[in-house]
Amino acid sequence: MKRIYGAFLRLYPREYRELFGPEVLSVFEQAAREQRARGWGAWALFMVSELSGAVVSAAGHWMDRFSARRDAAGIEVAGARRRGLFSVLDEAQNRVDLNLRRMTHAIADRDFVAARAYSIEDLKAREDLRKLRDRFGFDE
Amino acid sequence: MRHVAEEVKPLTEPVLLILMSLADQPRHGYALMKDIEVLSNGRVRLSTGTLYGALRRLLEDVWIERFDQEDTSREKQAYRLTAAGRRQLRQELERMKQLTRAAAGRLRAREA
Repeated sequence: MKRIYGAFLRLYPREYRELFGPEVLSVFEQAAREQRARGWGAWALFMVSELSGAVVSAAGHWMDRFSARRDAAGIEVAGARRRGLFSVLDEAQNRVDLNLRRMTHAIADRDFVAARAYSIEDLKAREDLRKLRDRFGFDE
Repeated sequence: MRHVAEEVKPLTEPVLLILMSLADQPRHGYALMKDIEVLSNGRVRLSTGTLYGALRRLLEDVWIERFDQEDTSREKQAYRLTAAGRRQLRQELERMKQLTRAAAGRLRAREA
């Protein structure tokens, strides 16, 4: 059971697996044990719900990830015009600041797996901000 | 005005239930899942994927935070509300109260 669900976890982005993987598997295992004790019918329903939930949730994570990247990069000049260039730059800067705060919290909490994931995100966010500044001719 | 409307945007049911569950005490993933079933009278059982999808977004918005409990292992992280999360929950409750009052008023007017 755990192996099947673990295989479904591979559908998620890597940083999600690094941050939540062991925890998600542990919660799934506890819930599966409880449902199994209720009988095969309950267990089968549970498995259908869990596996379909995993697929839908993984799709949501990927969509969030792509839209965050697209927004941060501000590739769409039309989007920049619509929201205002400064708003796009502010969003990108906010993303950099937010990642830094999360990374600091994670280090303070001694959650180094999360800190590493945020550090990777931080690099991406800074690169996106740099591209935006280059594109629109802004200095640091 | 538009800004105000965005701030009081309704929360999704999983998010509302997670914030409610964490309002009185911190919980780890499985305890959250069980408490949400109780809070919703057995109507809502979040799948693990849905639960952690919502938790990830709440962590990103800094409405909740992870922290170490004494018995915490990597498989058993605890979550608690931040001040921002508590504020969002209060705002949502105010929004619901306002709607309930308005709906009750309309029903009373109709029945009178």
